[in-house]
Amino acid sequence: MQKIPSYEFVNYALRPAKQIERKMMLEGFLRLASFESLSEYTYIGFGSIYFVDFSMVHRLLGIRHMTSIEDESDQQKQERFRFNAPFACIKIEFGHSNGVLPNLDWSRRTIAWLDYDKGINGAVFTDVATFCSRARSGSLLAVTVNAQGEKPSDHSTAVDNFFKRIPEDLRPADLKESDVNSDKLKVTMRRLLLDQITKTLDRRNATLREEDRLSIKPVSICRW
Amino acid sequence: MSPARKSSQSAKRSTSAKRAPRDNATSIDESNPKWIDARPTKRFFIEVITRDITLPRAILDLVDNCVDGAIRLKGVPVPSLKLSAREAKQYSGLNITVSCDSNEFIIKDNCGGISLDVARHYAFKFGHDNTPEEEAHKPEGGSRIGLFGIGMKRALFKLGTSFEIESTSTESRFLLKESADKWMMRPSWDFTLSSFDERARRATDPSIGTKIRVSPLHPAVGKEAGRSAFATSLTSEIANGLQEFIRRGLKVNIVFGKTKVEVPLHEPKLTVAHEIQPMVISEELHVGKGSPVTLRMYVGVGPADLKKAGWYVFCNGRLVVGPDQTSLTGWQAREPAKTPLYHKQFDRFYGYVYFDCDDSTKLPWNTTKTGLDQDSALYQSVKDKMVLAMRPVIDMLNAVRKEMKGSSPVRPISRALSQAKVRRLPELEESKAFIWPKTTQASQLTSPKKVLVRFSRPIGEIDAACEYFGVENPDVAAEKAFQYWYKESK
Repeated sequence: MQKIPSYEFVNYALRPAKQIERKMMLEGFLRLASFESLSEYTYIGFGSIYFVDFSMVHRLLGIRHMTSIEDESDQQKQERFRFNAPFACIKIEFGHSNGVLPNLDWSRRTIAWLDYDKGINGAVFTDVATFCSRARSGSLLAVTVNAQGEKPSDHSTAVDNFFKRIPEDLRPADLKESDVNSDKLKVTMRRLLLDQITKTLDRRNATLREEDRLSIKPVSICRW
Repeated sequence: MSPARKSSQSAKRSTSAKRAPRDNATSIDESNPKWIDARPTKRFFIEVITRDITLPRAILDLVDNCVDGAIRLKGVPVPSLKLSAREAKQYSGLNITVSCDSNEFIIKDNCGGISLDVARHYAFKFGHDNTPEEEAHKPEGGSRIGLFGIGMKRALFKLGTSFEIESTSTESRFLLKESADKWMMRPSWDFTLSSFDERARRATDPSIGTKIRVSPLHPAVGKEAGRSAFATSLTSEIANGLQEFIRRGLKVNIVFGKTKVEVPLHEPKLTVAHEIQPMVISEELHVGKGSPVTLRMYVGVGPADLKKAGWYVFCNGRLVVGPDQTSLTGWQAREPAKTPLYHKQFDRFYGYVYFDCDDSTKLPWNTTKTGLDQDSALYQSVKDKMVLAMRPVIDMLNAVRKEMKGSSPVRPISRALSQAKVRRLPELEESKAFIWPKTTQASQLTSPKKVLVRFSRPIGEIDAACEYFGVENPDVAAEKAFQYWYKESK
């Protein structure tokens, strides 16, 4: 059975909740103008075949340096992505984000919106670490994942099932069932992601002058 | 039970607190019921920590001391990406000779010698405490690669039971003869000079230098050192470990019986081509207070060699780890990028990391200089950089494999590699990233994914199809039917 990517089901632009989410994100991105003119930023996203977010950041924020990551190895399908790209300035990199992100040019400030199809897993943590070890000060990272509460199965608790998706060295020892099987999952995921971010930044900062050290400012977390 | 232990136990039993005043340099307060004995024992230094190091590495520690002498005489190697003609001769004229057989071990150098003051107050202490008193007696210029105050003593104890050290410097000469067995029996931790003078000598005096002789050797050591293959492995250990100094003109000779071998220069090289450029960077890292650490990194591809490919890590010019193909140097990492387990496919990967710092304690080496302190914040930070640096090289090697497996006659990477040249590291140009002919994305080299289709139909329908297409095999008929539809649909 082949996995069918979400874009095969529905045009993203038609999903109202998704559209509202994008508008909210954009409002957030606008605040970065205090670092530098947004047109100087790089935008990294998973554009799919609709490139809705790319159209918005290009038209509304004036961003010209854009990279869309698409995990597609079939040449014919790759053509479809290229054909659909609304602007010539969108660079499409084919491959898994884990392989693509480390090789991108990080010399500009970056807005990366990593909008995953699935729930949180090891690959998300790798991408977050890549961003945190490469991105310049004034960059923004947005991660969206499926946040449906974890369910217990016959022989394992919800926490067990949640742990299966999380790399071993990131599993908190104090998780309760309620931390993963309810609305609180978002808080749990935020905690794990922040852990990963601070861990990576600590390592990066260890060899930087005090005035050059980087810190993270969590801006928002929401579930819908 | 060893005599040393007996004497310390009898000390505990004695009620009068009268002891040799310098014994262990600590006072024992028997009357204090809260007192706990935590003094070191000599046995620990003679028989325990000597287990942590292999014989060639222990000898390398002695050679390190000679190199520190060379550095004090001729200055530190400049941690620049290039090597000037003058730097290539920095240590010319300085020689170290190591001779060994089954009876004795001798190391001799003309690297400046140890002054009486340094010998008395610094060189023979077990470990350093960096107190102002100790600092006052530190050899001028400090030490770059002998840093924990353990290497020389550990090597002497590892090798044999008695040693002689004769050293002549511009200000003095001394001879020290000591037997480890007798020293262990004595309550005091001191060594006693056999002879010395404090006559000034000219810097050009040919007698200036140090000679260490260990004899008799421990039986197992004698057996090992008596094998001619041992001289070979020692040569390669020194050639690897001290390549940065040999490259700058230092001569090391190994004498085995009547044979004298000059330790050859190991010169790391990386592949350069029109479209292939190794990553070559230099950065200043700021760790704690004081002098920054200079990091140099050269990452790319080289000759395919399953055993020699991997990472090489140097601290102040001394190779500490390498070739390494384990998670210690970033293989099988999950962050900040994913890297694979080392195997045949990556046997062209080479990475060289050089840490240089005036304060050698900042560097992430362990006391045997055979491993990296993985918990060091400096190393963790640099390891992240190493993982990110190796990622594009891995990508290229993966793409090469796809090229080889694929049917396409266009093999841009293999073509570029076949036209490539190897260059010595100082000849490489600075480059922020590893560059390779990426325009041909790996995915373009493979044919589109295929799907196998299986289905069943009533036999009558299949027979009809076979007849229609004029074939006997139902599979072929089905495929023809699909092709027919596909052509029509276009």
